[in-house]
Amino acid sequence: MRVRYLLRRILQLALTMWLVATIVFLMFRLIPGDPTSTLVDPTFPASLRAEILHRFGLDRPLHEQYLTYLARAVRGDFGWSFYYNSPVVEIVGDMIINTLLLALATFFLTYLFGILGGVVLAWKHGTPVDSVGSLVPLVFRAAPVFWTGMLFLMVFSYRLDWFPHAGIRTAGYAATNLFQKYVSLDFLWHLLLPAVVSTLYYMGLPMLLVRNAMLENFGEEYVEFARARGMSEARVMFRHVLRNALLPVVTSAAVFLGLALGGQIVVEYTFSWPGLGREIVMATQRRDYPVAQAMFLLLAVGVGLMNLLADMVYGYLDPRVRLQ
Amino acid sequence: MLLQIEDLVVSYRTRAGLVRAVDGVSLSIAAGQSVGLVGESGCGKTTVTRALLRILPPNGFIERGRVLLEGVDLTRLSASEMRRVRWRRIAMVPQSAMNALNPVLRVGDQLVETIRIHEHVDAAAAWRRAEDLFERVGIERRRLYDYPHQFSGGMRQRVAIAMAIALQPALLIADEPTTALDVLVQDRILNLLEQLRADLGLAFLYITHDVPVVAELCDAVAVMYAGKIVEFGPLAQVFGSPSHPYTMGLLRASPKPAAEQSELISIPGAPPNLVAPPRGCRFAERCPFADDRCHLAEPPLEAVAPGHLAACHFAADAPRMRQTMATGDAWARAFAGTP
Repeated sequence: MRVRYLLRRILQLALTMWLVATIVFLMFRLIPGDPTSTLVDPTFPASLRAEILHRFGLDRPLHEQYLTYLARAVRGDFGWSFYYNSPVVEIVGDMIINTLLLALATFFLTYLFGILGGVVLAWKHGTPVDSVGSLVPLVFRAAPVFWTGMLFLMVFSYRLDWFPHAGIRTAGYAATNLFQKYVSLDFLWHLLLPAVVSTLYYMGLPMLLVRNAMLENFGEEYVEFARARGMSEARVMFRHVLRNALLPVVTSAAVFLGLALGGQIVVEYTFSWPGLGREIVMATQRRDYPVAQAMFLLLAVGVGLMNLLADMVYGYLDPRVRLQ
Repeated sequence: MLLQIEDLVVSYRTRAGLVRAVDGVSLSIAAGQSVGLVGESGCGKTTVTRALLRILPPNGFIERGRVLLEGVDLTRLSASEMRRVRWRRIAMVPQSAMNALNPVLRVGDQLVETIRIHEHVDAAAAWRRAEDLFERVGIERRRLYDYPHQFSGGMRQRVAIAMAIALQPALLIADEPTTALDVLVQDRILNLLEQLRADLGLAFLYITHDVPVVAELCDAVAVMYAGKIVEFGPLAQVFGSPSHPYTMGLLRASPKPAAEQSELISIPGAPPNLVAPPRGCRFAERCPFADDRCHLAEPPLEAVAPGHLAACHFAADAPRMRQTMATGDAWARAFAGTP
């Protein structure tokens, strides 16, 4: 039963990916602008331009391009970047790691502080802690993230000079291998500002979800019964009420991870973080079809996989779902 | 005396004003005794139990009075001292175990947790005790690993009962423990409770609106109306020779096992608004025997026989009132204007 359910979901996911791949393929061919303009100097003769178009297969009929694209994408081959003049797979590798690390750091901070904050708000419901505490995340949620980012850069980077303003490592910082590159104080120091800024932006969602779900549970009889059994308030809150309030949060968490995986475009752009999000913007501007297509597909796969994960975790957390 | 409630006043802050849900209730329960607290919905029965355990909702508070458990005033304990009293000395069987058990935790985990927050036993020992408790209330031990939604209503109530006796409390509050169940299951649960009381020597406070249940299970009975106790005494006296018209009405409104009674009657009207309660007797509006005195002065709770108290100006006249009740429909005549 559960295996069949999983198989059905995976099939659904594959179908969704095919649809996304098709839309992405068509979308970039509908955008006005000639991809060869970045590749070919206008002073080159027309024959050279035709030669380049031929080499990338851009002179073939659309349906042929489409089939080639699909057949290769399935094998993980996203073609050759016009701009970098190297295979897309090679460029994407580092960016995925960079984006993943920023996304995971953001995710971890967002849900850690979001859930803890939500419990505190619910616990102190009706006091100033709750009314002020509910407002702060809303302010950061309403503020554009690039604005918060610039504000943080201005204060903590330019004025106070505590944190670097761009990139993932100090110029001249030499690392001998991948492990050293990312597991270093220098990297953490670069990571902190963008992670905190996006955490502030995203934190409101889990925080208010937890708060409201917990408040809904407060009237339930099992809460009174838990208190009647002599449990401390902390135990009632964290073990009993929070456990019940977590269900909607888990769903939102998995969807969030998928989105963050695809690149937090604005944050990465603001902090010049060399990740997928920043690259989507730049590749689109350069008409670098293969790179942009690959980025969008990765985003879709990320969101799809995370939704699948959300369903599985949901079943684990709520035994009533598991049995049906 | 195991439990002595003295002049307990419990109020709720509401939008309409202060509601005195429990207004000067005094009640005592001896060790091993079974006391029934009866009254219609909203009369304050459940508020009494919440005040005993001090688990009132945030807008509720104990305004006045004392709750002495084994000589210690529970209303004066600190929050952490009170937590140690809960369940260890006073446990409760909830109205509906359906909603009282946490839906996302296995029942065994909830039972073991309850044991372990009060006693320093290791997990294995606590699980062994949980198994014994389950067998004691008639559930297979392997069902400890199930979730609440996998149990039927009656079984879930047994789980709650196993939880209630886990720490061998001195007093067990049963707040309408069978209302949510069908009649056959009700009977089995009541038998189980009765047997546990005999085996463990528990005192019982039985909250219900079900008169026959009280008649079957209790030694003494308190009748509550609109936040006050209107009659209290040994079961045989209160139900055998009721001295308050409300008790008489309540008995006539309940089916009796033998078909000796012509028809069931209901008491016309509704209980008074507790935000602004009437000056005199709270039952006066609905009472067929009330006169001016009843509307002006509140009758005190006084002895009509040794150990038998009633709060009625005409308590001395009880035999006549009982006869009027028995011979016809007192309410129909009273409210038709021919007393």
